[in-house]
Amino acid sequence: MKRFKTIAIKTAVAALWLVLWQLVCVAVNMELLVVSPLTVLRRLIELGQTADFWRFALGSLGRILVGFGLGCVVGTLLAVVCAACSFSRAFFSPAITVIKSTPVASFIILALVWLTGQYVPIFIAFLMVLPVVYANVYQGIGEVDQKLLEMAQVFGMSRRKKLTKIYMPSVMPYFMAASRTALGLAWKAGVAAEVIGVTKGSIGRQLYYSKIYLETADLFAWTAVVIVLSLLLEKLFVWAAGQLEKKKRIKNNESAKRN
Amino acid sequence: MKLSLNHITKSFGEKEVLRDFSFALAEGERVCLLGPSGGGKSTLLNIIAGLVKPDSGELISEWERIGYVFQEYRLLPWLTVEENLTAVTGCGKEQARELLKAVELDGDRAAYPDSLSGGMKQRVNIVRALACEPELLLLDEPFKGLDTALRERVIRNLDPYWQGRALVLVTHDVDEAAMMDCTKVISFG
Repeated sequence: MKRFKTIAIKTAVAALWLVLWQLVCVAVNMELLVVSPLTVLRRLIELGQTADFWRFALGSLGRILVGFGLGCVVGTLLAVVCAACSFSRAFFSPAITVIKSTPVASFIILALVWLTGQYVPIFIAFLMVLPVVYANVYQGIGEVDQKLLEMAQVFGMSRRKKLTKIYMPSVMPYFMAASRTALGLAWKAGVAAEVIGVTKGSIGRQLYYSKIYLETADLFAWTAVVIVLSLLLEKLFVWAAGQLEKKKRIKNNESAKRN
Repeated sequence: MKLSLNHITKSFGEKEVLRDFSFALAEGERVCLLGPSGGGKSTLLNIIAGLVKPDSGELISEWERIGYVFQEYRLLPWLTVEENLTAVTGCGKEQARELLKAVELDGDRAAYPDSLSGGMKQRVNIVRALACEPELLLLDEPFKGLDTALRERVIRNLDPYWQGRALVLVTHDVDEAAMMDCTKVISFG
């Protein structure tokens, strides 16, 4: 019943926003500036029937996910190195601060100078993810329960066991929270990089052309694609994390029943 | 002597908890440290376990495998009861099950610590210390949270596992010293 109520409220809110959008569209009365939700939906359906639509969407998704993955790996490794060695922390700290403070547009322009088109969104997604994952994982390592580490020391747990049985489970919530935030950042910044870099076979390039040729319906439709993909990615991420946890619990319960 | 502490002094800030304390323990010997909280008993166990460094004095230990029943449970919350024994101490599943059976937790081996009561967690804490087959057992208020009948059953059921091991028991309860067959009682505080 509660679930039904939540869904009903969410649907009503979405419907209200669509009505508001339609009202704005009617008030402005110029499709070049604001297109109606129906026009966007119609255009989306048209685009969805072409192979290029899927090629562009998957291309953008692939590039941004590669950047996201690299950011996660490098951010985590950097956090581990910095937690283990204070000199590393002092050495990398200014670089992380610079990455966090520099406007993404500056990095995109620089990346366009340094790299070829396809790699720019990957690099930008990577740069967006790196400081977020680094900061959270570093904090997670710092907050590992010292009493558990003392216990591990007394019982002579190996370094590998300490890593897999204490550090990794302790840091995992921090990593997951960072990844969830970073995924949204990577997606938005990656698409921005595609727009500025006019990356071949990408959503960003389609957004750019929509603006150049004043195809506002396309601009809205591709923006809707970006939003939907971002939401889907986040949902998928949360679902995958939940499944992993569930799988572990089921495995343990089955093992208990078997024995 | 397998363990000797000579003229140990330890302070935390202004508070001196151990002053010129000397103590020795032979193989298989059982000693009880009795006294009120804040007397330095737990600090002494931590020094023996190598977790706290004394300010001065000397610690000589020939024992390598130490089992420690901590005052707080210190269980890994993301591992099941059985995994808390096998992963931490490296003991086999069979041994873990035998120990859990001895403390009446054989039905809870797949449970996670969060779902256990304080007394159940304490029993896991106890058997974890035994699972590593220690040469020396450090027990810091090991039966806290267990009612009298359960405490007696646990001590009796684990009797084969206590046997032959040197043991330092910290407690407020003189009865526990007797139940654990401590041959020496040192008063603290």
